[in-house]
Amino acid sequence: MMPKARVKAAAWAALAVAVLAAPALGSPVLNDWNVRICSLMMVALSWNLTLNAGLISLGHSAFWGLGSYAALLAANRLGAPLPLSLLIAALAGSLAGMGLAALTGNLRGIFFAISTLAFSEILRVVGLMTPDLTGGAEGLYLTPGLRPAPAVVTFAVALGAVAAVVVCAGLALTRFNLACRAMRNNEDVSKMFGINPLVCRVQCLAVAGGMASLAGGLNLWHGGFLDPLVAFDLHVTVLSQIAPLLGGIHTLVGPVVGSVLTVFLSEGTRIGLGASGYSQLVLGVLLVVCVLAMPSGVVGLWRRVLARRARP
Amino acid sequence: MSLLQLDHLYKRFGGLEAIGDLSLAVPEGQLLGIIGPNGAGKTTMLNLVTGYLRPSKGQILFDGRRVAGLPPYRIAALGVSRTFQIVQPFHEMTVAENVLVGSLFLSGRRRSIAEMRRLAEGPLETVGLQHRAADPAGALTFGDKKKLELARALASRPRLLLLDEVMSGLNRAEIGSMCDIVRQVHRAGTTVIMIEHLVQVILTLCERVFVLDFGHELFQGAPGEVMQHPEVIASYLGKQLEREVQPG
Repeated sequence: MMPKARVKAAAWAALAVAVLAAPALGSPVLNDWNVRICSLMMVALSWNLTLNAGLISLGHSAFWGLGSYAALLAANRLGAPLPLSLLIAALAGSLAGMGLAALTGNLRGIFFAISTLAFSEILRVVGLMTPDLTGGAEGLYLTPGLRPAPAVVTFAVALGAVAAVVVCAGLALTRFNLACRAMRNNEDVSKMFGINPLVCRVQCLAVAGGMASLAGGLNLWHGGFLDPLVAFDLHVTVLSQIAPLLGGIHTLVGPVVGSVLTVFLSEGTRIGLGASGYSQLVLGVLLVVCVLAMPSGVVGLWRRVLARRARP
Repeated sequence: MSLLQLDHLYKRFGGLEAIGDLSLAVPEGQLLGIIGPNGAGKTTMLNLVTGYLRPSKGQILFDGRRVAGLPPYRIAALGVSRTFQIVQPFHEMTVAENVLVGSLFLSGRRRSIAEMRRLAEGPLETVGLQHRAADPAGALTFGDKKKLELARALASRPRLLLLDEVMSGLNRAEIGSMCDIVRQVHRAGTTVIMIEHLVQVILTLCERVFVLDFGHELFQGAPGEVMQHPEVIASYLGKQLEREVQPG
């Protein structure tokens, strides 16, 4: 391994250890930040995965909400402990992703995006209309006795984020990744080289859906309460895009850095400016600035600075 | 037996008949040129063969197998590859990755990515783009993009290679080297069908020429014969050949 690659691997490992060890300190504030950053990281990485295949999702709150409800119902109805409920949540997300891929067929660009938005809205309405299952507008609480200590939940969320990074790093080395990128560049041409776009989309959304649903499931164990408006909140969809766009799309480190920045910014503005409406305004403006001024995000900017310095 | 056979093929777009009652047999190992005026249905024919379009009527046989209506990735898996008239490399990927994608899901299905990366150097060298391997494909000049498309198609190790105006937009030197590459690929045993507007290229490269006009066969035969044929001259060439073709 090259020294530079070794430094990078060491940095990733140190980061993983820090995030996983932090819950042991038992600080509620630190745990809260950890959960926010790590769960956002998972949906951000998931969104980045779909974008890598050229699929712009406006429906990540669907996976998030589905995962939340799957975990909640598994725990309340079946008495599933945290790990089993999370497995069920991830599976539910994967299945939903595959279903969405099959339903949207070969829809591209804005047409795919709109259908994912509709998918999320449909689930929200279904959630409101089936009070026997979801508690309807009144919502549902996780059975209190089931909840483990906050540090355990925080550790689980951190583990989920580390797993998501590992999965993304592993996928980057596969031919699946090359198929996704070819498809993003030109789906029609990719077909001429043996790539079946439908299979590729089903695989991609299975992984991304599972990842985002796992994040939703983890958040349920953190929050303990759900109603359809909370579960299928469009805010999740928006944040899942802001983080990669801010950090740098089509990279692994981008969504990770972006998630940290996004949480810091939204919390910082909320604390600094009072009303939470301002924090959304700041994020909105930031998103526009990112798209217009630095399409490769903070990571891209950093790489350009490094490249300029390296030049003699 | 023919490697590719079109049997009374029709393709209609609404009221427009782009291809009408077209039959064609291409024996294995042949280098066939297809000429015809703009809108004659040449690219439509390639799109039918590669599965981008479904014929309205008729059958396409590749190596004795019915392929009409199969999706492009299935037809590609049988050993058909193509370049596109309007160049379409994967712009955000590097030159080397473009060639890699050309092989990875077809000829290199059962090999490792690392091995295929090494093997991708072959087609790149063939077209003379090895020095651009690490550059994004979008940064290439138009001529280089054409070469890259050819390299990507070659990487899939096709039995039948379809070239859609692979020479257009190239300068004289580039056309010369492109002709050499096509000849070399053909000699290595690949069946080639090329759509071409440059009469000179057709005359020097092709063993047989098929003339398409309004979706119908106008004439087929040896290149020399075709260029003498009065109907071909009337519909396509428009003037006497002797003055058009300069040696060199």
